[in-house]
Amino acid sequence: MFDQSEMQQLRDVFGARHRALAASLQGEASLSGGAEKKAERLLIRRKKIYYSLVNTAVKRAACLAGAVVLMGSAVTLGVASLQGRDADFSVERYENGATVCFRADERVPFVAKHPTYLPAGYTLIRDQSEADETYLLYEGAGSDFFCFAQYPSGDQASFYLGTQSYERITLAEEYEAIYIQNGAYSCLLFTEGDFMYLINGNLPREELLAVAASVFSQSIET
Amino acid sequence: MMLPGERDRIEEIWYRYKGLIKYIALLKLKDEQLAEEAVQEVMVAVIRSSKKLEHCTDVELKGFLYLVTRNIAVDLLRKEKRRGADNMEELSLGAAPDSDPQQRLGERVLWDCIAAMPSVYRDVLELTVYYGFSSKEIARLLKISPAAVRKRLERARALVREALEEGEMQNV
Repeated sequence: MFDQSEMQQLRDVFGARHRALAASLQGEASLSGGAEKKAERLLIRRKKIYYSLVNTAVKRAACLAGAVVLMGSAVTLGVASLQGRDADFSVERYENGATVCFRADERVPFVAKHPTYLPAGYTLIRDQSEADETYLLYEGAGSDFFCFAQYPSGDQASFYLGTQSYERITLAEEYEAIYIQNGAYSCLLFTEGDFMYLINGNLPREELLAVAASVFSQSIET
Repeated sequence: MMLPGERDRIEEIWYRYKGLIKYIALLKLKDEQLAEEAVQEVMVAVIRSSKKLEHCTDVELKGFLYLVTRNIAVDLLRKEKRRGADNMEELSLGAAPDSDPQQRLGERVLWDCIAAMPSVYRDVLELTVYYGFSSKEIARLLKISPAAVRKRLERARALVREALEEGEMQNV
């Protein structure tokens, strides 16, 4: 682009401009308490392992999909696939994993739900929900986190699991769910009413189930 | 390894310059809420650019913060569809400072060229030549496409070439 001598001349001129600018920029303005706190939370969050994964909408989507895909080890199996209806889920098994599909017969208006139970020390740090989809990211101490997502009925929502090692469980003696545990990470997929929910993160099993319980308990109360 | 309570570079920059960033934002936006929004976005830009700012002097940091804040302010005004985005006033830096008499003429020509250059070209040139950002990094910083970065850089280069040739001719 420029030779060395030209680059040096340009750097000299920009350097001189910076010195002139620094001399003329002598003011300061204070930030509101809210802005200070927001900035401090960002300063803390950027040190977390997952910050580079979830700080953009696109990366957030990839993180969510990746968390499900990577949750489990790839197991080489025979070619035959098994199809079966597991309550509100349809599970198809493939060579290296399984796909969980949810299909509702009719579409109803989306009613967003948020978990009313949070494990101790967790706070909501990001809400990227839209009109017909909920996506919330919660953070605890250290690198603890979990994501909560809700999807509308009437669509085929499918999730690819990188494992066939899932567990079918029942929540509150009524709601069918799929639970996957891989090391420190766990994932829960369940349906309640006309919606499908996904909760995943590095929560212990009992905490994950408690968060889920706080969602479907809302429908009993309303 | 950091000691307990020790701040890293980004935290140092934040605590030292947050007041200045808001001051610049207020100069440009003249709105408290927008200025605070701009400050948050500048902070994200600083975090993304942390490697490039690691060894910057205070003067260089102020130059970078001014450039980034001004661009973010223009972007915010456009989003708010407010007038003033396209004719935002620049801080006047005056004439080129006196330097070595042997180089004074050439340097003045280059100074005048850069001062007169549209800020959209100058910012890209400065980020490339002075701070060492790549086209992709600049695109992300200024929220424009990499193709737009390359085009602006090309135009800035053409203007600089003209000025350098003019300076050489005047030296002869």
